[in-house]
Amino acid sequence: MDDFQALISSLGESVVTYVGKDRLQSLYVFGDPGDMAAAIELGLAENTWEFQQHAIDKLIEIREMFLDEVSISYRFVTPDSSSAEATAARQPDFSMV
Amino acid sequence: MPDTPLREAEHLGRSARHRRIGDLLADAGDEWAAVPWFYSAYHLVKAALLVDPIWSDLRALQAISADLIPDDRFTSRHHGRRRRTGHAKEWGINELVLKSYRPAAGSYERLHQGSIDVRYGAGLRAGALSALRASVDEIHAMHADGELAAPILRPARDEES
Repeated sequence: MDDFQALISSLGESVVTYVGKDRLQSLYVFGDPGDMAAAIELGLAENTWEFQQHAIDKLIEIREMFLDEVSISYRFVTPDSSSAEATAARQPDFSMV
Repeated sequence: MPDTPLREAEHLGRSARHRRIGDLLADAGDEWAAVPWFYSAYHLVKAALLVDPIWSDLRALQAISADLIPDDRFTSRHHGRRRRTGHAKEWGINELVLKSYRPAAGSYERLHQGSIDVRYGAGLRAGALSALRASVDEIHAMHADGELAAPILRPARDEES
């Protein structure tokens, strides 16, 4: 595992720790070593604003922690669109969001 | 930097217009309010970045982050990036809010995520619209109160002298 992969792995672990494993249904962290950027896709265990707001607050903290190393974008997906099959079938593109 | 960057008054005008449209949509119960509300906040932040004195004080700027340079205020990206091969970091507005206007970061992020949910996702979650109204209210209040301004930090050696 190279340094960037280790960084992305650490980022994913931080999301699980900060947001809370019990609040996550799915999590994908995509790394772009060329831009030193990461795109995070979160599926929440409950599709509620309370869960989303909590996750946003934690992702702000995580972005702050990793700011000198990697630029982070993220978005939330609904259960139907967060399946492993759906995620594997496309490349993440958060450039417009 | 965009080809035709807006001036402060133009950003404020766009912000006010987006706010009005957002309020009208919200009053009609339309989730699309999240989109103009976010861009109202975006333009307020862009306006604040243009006039914030921190950007003309390189030492104070770099006390916030060694990567910051005055031209970073003109970024139009939402998210930053850092090319590996010796290029300077390109900042995103979300990151500048985090570093310079930390008290506004929560509201700004909520509005951004709300606009993403409406444009690209399955829409706003229940209860989000009223929360986002509170978020856009907060950003506007901070701007009106002069609170969208970076703290002027100084390197430690300044404090010793």
